[in-house]
Amino acid sequence: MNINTIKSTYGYLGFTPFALLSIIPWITGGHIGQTAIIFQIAYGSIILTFLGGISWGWRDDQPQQKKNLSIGILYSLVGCSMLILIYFNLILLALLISVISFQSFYYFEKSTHDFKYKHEDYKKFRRMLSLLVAISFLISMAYWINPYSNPLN
Amino acid sequence: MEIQKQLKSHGAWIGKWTFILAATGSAVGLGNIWGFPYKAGTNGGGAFVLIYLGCILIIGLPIMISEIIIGRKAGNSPINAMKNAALESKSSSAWQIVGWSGIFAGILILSFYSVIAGICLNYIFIAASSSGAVSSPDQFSSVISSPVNLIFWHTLFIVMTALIVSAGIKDGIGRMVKILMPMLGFLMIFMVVYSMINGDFTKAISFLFAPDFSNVTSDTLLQAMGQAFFSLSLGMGSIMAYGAYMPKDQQVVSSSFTVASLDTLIAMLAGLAIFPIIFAFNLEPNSGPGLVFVSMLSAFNQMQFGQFIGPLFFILLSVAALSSSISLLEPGVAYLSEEGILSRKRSAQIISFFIWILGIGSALSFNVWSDVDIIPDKNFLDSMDFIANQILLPLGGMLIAIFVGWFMKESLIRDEIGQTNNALYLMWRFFVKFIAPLCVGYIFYRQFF
Repeated sequence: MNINTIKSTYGYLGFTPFALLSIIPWITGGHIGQTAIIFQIAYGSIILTFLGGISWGWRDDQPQQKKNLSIGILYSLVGCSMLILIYFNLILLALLISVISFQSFYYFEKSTHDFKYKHEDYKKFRRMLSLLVAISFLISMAYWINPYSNPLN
Repeated sequence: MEIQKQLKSHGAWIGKWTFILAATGSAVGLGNIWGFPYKAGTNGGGAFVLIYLGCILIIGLPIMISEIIIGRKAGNSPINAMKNAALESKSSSAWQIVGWSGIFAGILILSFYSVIAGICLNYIFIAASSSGAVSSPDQFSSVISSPVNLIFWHTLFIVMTALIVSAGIKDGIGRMVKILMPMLGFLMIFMVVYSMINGDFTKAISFLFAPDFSNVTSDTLLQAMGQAFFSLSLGMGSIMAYGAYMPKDQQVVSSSFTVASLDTLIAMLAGLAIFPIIFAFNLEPNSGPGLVFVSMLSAFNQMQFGQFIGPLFFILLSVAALSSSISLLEPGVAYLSEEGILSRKRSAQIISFFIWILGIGSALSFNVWSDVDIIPDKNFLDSMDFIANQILLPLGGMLIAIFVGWFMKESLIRDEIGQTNNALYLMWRFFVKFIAPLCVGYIFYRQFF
């Protein structure tokens, strides 16, 4: 298996929990549904913190890398803050920040100098993965907003 | 050589996706949108969906592949395609009767389909201007009780259909499906998202997908078989005609899988768009066509932004109807023009005019001719529906499967199918030879007895 296939295989495996945790609430509803969404946000916060850390491993001599280090830290901090939002039961806000963060991290990565030289398959995979993760959070947001399914109603 | 010449006279799809979009557009119609979700919900939910998918695999796909093979082999209209395939297989040219029956069925179906599609067009404006002062059942009664109103919208719909088909394969149907199908997809996703946020989505999911095998009876199997056969536009020559314009390097099997999958996906999405709204407003999910014209309008009247969401929903229905109607008109137009009897434009005009005349009978069946029976106990519209959907389509589908399974030369089939896994090929041969004709024959038999 070439490196891009390995990356996309693991990437999509990593997406599976997002997909499952966004569907479970619609099927089970109630307390299990609420818990699934909290788990989804928590899993998202870990992944986002991990993504922020990745930027520290990018080539040091690429243009703008100093700025990239700062932005990377910002994403890790946002990831941690999502756990705090869960603690304060600000679920909808945490979901919204998750959607924005995952999409914006993709644009951040895409804007780096080295991304242009990545393999086309990797570029497609990154775009698709960010989109799917954002959709999974949007599905959970719909569950939370929907007056018939919101567990707090 | 002759085939090449005829292909040139019709044109061919440009790109792989045009055939897929056109065939999906043909398959996705009003029946999918109000038929499949309701049948699924009342016949065991997820259990019905599983049985339906099985039926698609053993009945729908084998016949769809057969139709495409015959159509693409000849590159002609269904009549000449059947004749060509029969003669090349050293069989009787009388097999062309299957093509005639398909074209005839298409004309009959389009005659009443355009009346119903016309009502959808009318409802775009009704939903936009409805204040809720008139109840939705009264609104529906007022729409169908006016012959002039029904004929006006029927005329408009037929004219739209004729204009698209007369413009040809590349500039007419090909171009329109590339606009209509993404539009259908976008509107459907918008409606699903809206229902997900505002409707009783969890109840709809449970209604549609929670498997309840205690609700599964022999009638469920029959309903699933019927849905699998009718929803893919089989037996009416549409898929055969569209197959004739399919590029030779396009894979028949994988394209058929894609079309069947998209058809099923859109039917499921339709359920997820409609039922959350129906349940949110405590309306009855079991009212068939009345579901969209009465129940949905009632919901739009009550909901916030209903005057915006309602018209979008009826635009969605109209788009689905239009993409199907062009496939119903195409086989007849293709035949007249390839035979050199009339130009394509003139063929589309003449056949559409004939359909329009027939459609007036269906429009009047809602009001002044409601007591006029053509077939005992069936008014004009029901008679057209009976002849086309209950007799001609199952017979056509069964005969296509029998022809490809038992009479068509294997080398011709292999040429068209191309490189395919041998086990998959043998499985398809088995289904098309034995299972599909028996199942469609059973559907046909059960419609009468």
